[in-house]
Amino acid sequence: MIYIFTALECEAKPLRTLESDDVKIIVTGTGRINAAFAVGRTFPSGLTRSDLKDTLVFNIGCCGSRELDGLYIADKITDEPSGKDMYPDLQRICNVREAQVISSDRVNKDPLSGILYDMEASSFFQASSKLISPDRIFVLKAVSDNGYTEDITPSVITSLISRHLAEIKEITDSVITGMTNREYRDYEDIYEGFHASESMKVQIRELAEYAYSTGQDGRELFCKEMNDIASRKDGKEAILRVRAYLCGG
Amino acid sequence: MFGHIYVEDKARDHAMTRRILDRFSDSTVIGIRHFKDVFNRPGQDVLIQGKDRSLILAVNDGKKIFEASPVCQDMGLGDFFYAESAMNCIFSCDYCFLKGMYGTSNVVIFVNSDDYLAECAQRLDKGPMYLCASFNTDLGALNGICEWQSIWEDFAASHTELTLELRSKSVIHDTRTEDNIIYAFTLSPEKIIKEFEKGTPSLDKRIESVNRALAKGSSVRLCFDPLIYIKDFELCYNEFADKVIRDIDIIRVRDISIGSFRISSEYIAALRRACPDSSAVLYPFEKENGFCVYPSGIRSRLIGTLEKRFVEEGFGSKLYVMR
Ligand code: SF4
Repeated sequence: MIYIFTALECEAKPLRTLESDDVKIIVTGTGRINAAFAVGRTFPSGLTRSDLKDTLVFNIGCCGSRELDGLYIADKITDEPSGKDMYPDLQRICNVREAQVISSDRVNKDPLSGILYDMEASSFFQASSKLISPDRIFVLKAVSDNGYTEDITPSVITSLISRHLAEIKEITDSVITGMTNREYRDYEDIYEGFHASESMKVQIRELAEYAYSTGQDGRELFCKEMNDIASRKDGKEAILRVRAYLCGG
Repeated sequence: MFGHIYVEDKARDHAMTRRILDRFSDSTVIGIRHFKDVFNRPGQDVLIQGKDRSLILAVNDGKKIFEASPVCQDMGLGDFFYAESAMNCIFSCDYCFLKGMYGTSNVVIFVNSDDYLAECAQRLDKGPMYLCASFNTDLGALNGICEWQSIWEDFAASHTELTLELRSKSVIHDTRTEDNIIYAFTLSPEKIIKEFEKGTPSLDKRIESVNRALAKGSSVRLCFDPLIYIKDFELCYNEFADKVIRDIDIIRVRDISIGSFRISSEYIAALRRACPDSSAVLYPFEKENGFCVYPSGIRSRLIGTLEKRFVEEGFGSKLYVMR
């Protein structure tokens, strides 16, 4: 699942063409607090890192820069008020220019050379990284201005993001292609057939997964034993047989 | 080799940093305040990072030399310490405890080598010391990246009360001949290398390194550790022993260490997440004194297979076995 967070509807508008069952777009409102809240609402408390192991999040929007131009991916994000630096892992990304993004609560009228300025990236990243690993959090910024924002209307922003839409799509597509969903194997029927206690379930799963790693069919090894099992005691003995076969006695 | 190099502000002006950055001029360099801001981030994906590791250049302000854990073999050399001159490895052995311990595939190189040597010299004032300089890394593999291996070699050459062990799976071209510098080569059957020691040199290449070092008169240790259980391990390790005994002049080897795979129970879950398909780490280990180990029967058969061969060949006195 991909979640794209933008601050403004005018940034989201061209991205809506990417929307699908697997791609959701969320407009957060401007500023660090709104961005953090939106991430918090999307991934409410109770979720764990493993619940979100197949989730990718993007913050896409416009930014200011003294002299840079075009679309960038953040390789360092600085939260100006706290001074905290954050670092996305960019192994999944190729052929996109990288730059540091500094997020603050005001438009920077005196930007430093080579830096991008925005108002959401840091709190978006900080909130996301509570549940999502740093290789699956991306901040993509298109430069809209050099600190003077008077001429920056919603339609200017929409057309800026539209201009980069093909590039953005290429990036999201390549990231999705690189995701490998691991097969989760279910052993419920085997647990039942073995009259398994909680500790027997752990042993069955561990042994079956080990069997798969050695190129054998872990489920099959247990299923073959199932006919002869009438009680938990039989189940325990069958586990010992599978263990002896797999682990060398 | 490294897509990104993170450089701590205080490491920037060190000579080792400059040399490394010159060598990797194509990498994207990112300034950082403290190496832990990158190295210790929560929830890092070791698998994906392993596809394109980042390098972190840092200054170690803390402790640099540590007392080794009792599960490490001191090879009869007494006070056993290790130096943390780098953290993590550019190789990717499935069973490597570093994956479990660090939770990242990124590699840190500490660039303030003078501080390490000063701490080591201070410790040597208290008496002789056995120091493993390639402990939480493979310094030999980092040879083309930084000069840590030769820094330790030079230091040991002028401090004979220090016994230095440089353990590696990499190809070592040049070795020193001082008695107190031990080159410890980890050898594994080719089948184990191919399956579980990703990115490391082949057995033939490692044996070439051993023989080069022996020919030069260097002090050489052979490490058969960790031995890994596979279905036909007896055949596999016997054929391996045949090759080692045939291709290496064992008489000239200083000593031989043998040990089966073991890992702190603390790290096993992280290691399994990092290598979710590897039978080397998915084996249903037994827990013993805080460590995950093979059942004692398997352990003694694994160790016994090699031990027997070396004893039969008359090299029993050279063996150090971790049971
Ligand atoms: S060579 Fe050693 S340090 Fe490097 S990955 Fe393999 S076991 Fe770990």
